[in-house]
Amino acid sequence: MSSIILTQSVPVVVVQASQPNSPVCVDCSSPLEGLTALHVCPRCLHPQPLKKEESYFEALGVPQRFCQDPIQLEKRFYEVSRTLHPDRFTHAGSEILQRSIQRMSFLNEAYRVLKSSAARRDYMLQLEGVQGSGSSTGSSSQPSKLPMELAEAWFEIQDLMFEDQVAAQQKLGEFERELQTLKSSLDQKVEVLEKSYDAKADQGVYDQTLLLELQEELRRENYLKSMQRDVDRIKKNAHSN
Amino acid sequence: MPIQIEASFQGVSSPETKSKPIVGIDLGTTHSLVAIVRDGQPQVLVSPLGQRLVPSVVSLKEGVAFPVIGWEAKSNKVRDAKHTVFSVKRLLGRSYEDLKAIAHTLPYEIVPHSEGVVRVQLGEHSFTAIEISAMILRELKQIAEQALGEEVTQAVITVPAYFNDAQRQATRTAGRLAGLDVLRMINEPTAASLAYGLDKKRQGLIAVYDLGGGTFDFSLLKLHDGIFEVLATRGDTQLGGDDLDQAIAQKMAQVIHSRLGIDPYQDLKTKAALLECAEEVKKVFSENTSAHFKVDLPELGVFEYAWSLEEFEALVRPILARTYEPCIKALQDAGLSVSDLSDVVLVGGPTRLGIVKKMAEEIFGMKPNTSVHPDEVVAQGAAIQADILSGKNRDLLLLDVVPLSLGIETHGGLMSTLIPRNTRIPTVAREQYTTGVDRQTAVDIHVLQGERERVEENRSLARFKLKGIEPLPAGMPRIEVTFLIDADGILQVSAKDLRLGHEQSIEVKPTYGLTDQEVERMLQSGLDFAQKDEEYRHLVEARRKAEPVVKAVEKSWDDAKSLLAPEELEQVKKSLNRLKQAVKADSPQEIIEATSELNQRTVRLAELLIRDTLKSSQNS
Repeated sequence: MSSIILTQSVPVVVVQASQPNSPVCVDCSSPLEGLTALHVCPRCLHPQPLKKEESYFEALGVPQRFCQDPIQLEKRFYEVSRTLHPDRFTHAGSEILQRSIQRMSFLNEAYRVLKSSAARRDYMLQLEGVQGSGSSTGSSSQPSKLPMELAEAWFEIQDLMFEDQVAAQQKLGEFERELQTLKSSLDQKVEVLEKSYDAKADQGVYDQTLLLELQEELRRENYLKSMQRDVDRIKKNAHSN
Repeated sequence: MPIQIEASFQGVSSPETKSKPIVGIDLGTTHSLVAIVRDGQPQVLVSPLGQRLVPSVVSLKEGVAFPVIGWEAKSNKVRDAKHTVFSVKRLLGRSYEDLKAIAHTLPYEIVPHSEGVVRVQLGEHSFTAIEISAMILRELKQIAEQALGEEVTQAVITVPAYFNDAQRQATRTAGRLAGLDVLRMINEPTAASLAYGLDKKRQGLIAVYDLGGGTFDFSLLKLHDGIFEVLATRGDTQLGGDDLDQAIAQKMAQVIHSRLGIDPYQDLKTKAALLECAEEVKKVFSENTSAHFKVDLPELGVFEYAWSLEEFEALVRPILARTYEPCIKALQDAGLSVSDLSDVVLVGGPTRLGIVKKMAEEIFGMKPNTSVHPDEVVAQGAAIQADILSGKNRDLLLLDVVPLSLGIETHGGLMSTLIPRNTRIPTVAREQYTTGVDRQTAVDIHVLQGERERVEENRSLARFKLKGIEPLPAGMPRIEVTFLIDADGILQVSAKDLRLGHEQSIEVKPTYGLTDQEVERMLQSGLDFAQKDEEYRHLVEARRKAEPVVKAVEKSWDDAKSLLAPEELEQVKKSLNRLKQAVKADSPQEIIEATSELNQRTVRLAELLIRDTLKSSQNS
């Protein structure tokens, strides 16, 4: 018997020897200066090994902020890809090619995460050591500060499903609208929190309390999302019946 | 001065091409092509007979050791259906189980080989689809070598974007068997976009609708200043022009059956004949509004049928409608709508049909772009990618994605996705495993590809065992498995014991495909072919050198009659005849000797001719 148990997903971080203070190329020792130099030495054009704990923000050369300009991200992604992509190292030795593949994989992941506002938010919180924002924790208990009526309404609908389908469907519609309203107000709160964190960070102040508040809002949002999934399921079942 | 004209091969002496050439190959279901970039422009390489397309058909006559490939094989399709195989791309990387459903539509026989691999029966011989693809690739390699005048060992080969890992592996193995180092496999629609956007004037969001002989691919790309970024890809690896032929042929078989009471599909040769006529009908409809189906039935005489455009379109529309869903889903994947697109590019032979153009217009609400050459654009794109890989072109860069999600089997027979579809490649995913039973020392890992939840509805790529795990209580060991998808879209797996820190050796047994030992054996037996190939190349080269010498002598024959003494003229004539005979036969040595003899015997003639020319120019 040899079954598999999946324990956890590991973020893709490759551990390499730590770098000296002012970075130089591992192969030709020239100083690594310029926007793409973190990835590829501007002199010998060799891709550099991934740094220990290099962040996605560093990889794309953008400030560590919640708000990102998608056009800027794309520009940086293209710029680095142009010099780093394995297609540029077809005839290089296998070690150089491997480094390019490793770095390019990292850059691809960095771009995927930073491009999506939700994935970027989770990643920011993870970098700042504020855990439990993501959907992965899936705490099913109701977070504080959500109207109690929400849970009550939900139980009411579930009871009605067995008694009066038509009434239940009607209630379900109302309930869904309520969810939508709550969700958009939460979205707004999240946006405000992110903006104020970024503004303070621009001044050099990294406000942990804002992050904790943000985390709390996100928990609420997750709770709403799981309710929405339940609603969708009920609607789907009603449909197929 | 003897009349000597060295056949000069383009590109040999220019410093730019001193590095080994890398060719681009479109290994298609019905046709294959080879191309290269010259002076920044992709060019299809032409066979010595002047042909650009090579039919992907292989024929092995009874009692003959070597297969014929291309046009000659295609001409055997009906005459010798039992010994002729076509559309082998549809069999690549697929098992007998996968193919059982379509086996009856093929006029050649497929038989199960090892687990997951089929063989095609050609008379008393049988070959895997990989070997047959290798024969086609070897033919293309030769065409390239003849056209370039040098050895070709490196290639970029295109594959349908929706090919899974097994199909990609099979293509790469075929390249290896053909003596080609496959530097990169790129997706066909992406390749087409490279040729489409080569001049960088075309920018923005484009869609590539690629309906080939056997596969349909749909890709969305962003073209920006030399970057070709694939945003999403969808497709159907069992949908193409072949299906239209099959539909026409089946319809004809039904009509024949009802009229004459005989099922023509019972006979392989008749089936092949019906398919060939069906293909003709389809081709006629790309330019005409009616087509005449005519087939010679053994013992029953000629069967004729008049097709109208309406009847044809009504028959094929439901098949072509299957392209709709992949397009819409790809747009959804990319978060785009049709109004975001600046262009829809049609690629592939069947897109010549009016109904396909109409269909594309219905889907996208705009007139599709038909400016690229539907048959050649993919090979051109492969050549451009080859140019990029050679380092000569640093302006362009392709950023592609993995078309299908990759995952592993978890409890309850479900697939857990590690790398979702449309993830940019190369990409890495790491996963930690532990044991479920005390003192368990091995873990089975089953790698899957596909979009379904249940294991059996996805493609099984590989099963391997993580062995040598420390016998610890359940849940204690920590093994990290790394899944890397390289820039070819091919999976590589490695594992590491996190507690002990050492890399584990993993046995990855491909579920579909050939084992390393099988490939080795095929490479060995392929040496015979290689030798034969070499001889053939010498022959072609010798003929090429002889031809201009013969022409030059024949051209100056009238002058020679007046300039040379009769016995000298006789000598020249003898040598000329010897060479002409030699060219028709197939000994390269004889051709070379006869060429040099004719050269020697015309030394004086050449001097006299030159003197004559000088004299006449002085007089005038």
